[in-house]
Amino acid sequence: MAVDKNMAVLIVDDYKTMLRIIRNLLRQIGFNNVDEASDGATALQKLRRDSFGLVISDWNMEPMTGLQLLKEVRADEKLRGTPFIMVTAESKTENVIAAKKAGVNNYIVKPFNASTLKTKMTAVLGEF
Amino acid sequence: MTVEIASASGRARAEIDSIDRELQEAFDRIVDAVEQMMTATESMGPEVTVGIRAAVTEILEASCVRDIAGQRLSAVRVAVERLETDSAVTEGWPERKRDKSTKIEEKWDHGSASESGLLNGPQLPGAARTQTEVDALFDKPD
Repeated sequence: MAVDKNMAVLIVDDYKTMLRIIRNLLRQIGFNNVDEASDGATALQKLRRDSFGLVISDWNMEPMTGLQLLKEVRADEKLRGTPFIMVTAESKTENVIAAKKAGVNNYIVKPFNASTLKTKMTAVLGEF
Repeated sequence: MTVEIASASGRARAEIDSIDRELQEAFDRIVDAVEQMMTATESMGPEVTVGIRAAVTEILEASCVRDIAGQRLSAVRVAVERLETDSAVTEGWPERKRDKSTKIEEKWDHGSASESGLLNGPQLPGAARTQTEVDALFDKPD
């Protein structure tokens, strides 16, 4: 089934430049329904209030990290099926293993390129 | 802590803050310009925009350095504070060390206990895992 490019995507990062970069890269590949949050706690509120087809989140944020957000999403009956991609500068083996164990759908290392973002989104959502 | 060290670390913190602020201002302008380009090309045909879109993508990708640079500057801030604390100890200011050490550890350790050791920020060049290496790790069966 084709991916609905009108689905809502939530991007989470504490750097406003990164939010704008990811929003614009998504816009370039046809995803215009994008909301954003600057930390995990705000993201979780938005996820519980609205419906999102994908979360793209940074890891290193305060007060709630991306990993904590992921764990909260996977522990929430209504949210647990939400596709979740981590986009982070944390590239150590233990980070990848911890994110995978927590149920992340894919993992992108910063700095990243548009092609990687699209490839990982395709891997998670299907062809678009 | 000697007056010289206090003065030098104070200057270092001011310089770091200045770099961070100026970087943010520059990247705000860069991304503003990119968004204007994207909007301006929306009504143009693909034969005109294909090259512009590729250039815009390049600029956006390169702008990811803002995040990495910001995290590196945070690491330098913490290092400066640690040096200050060590100097305070050398000078026999245990109260200052205890207060500052607690605050410094809090800056690094803002995740849960289970995340201890997982918040390291970007690795130095050569030490960081590439996307290909991460993919191999991610795709490896449990």
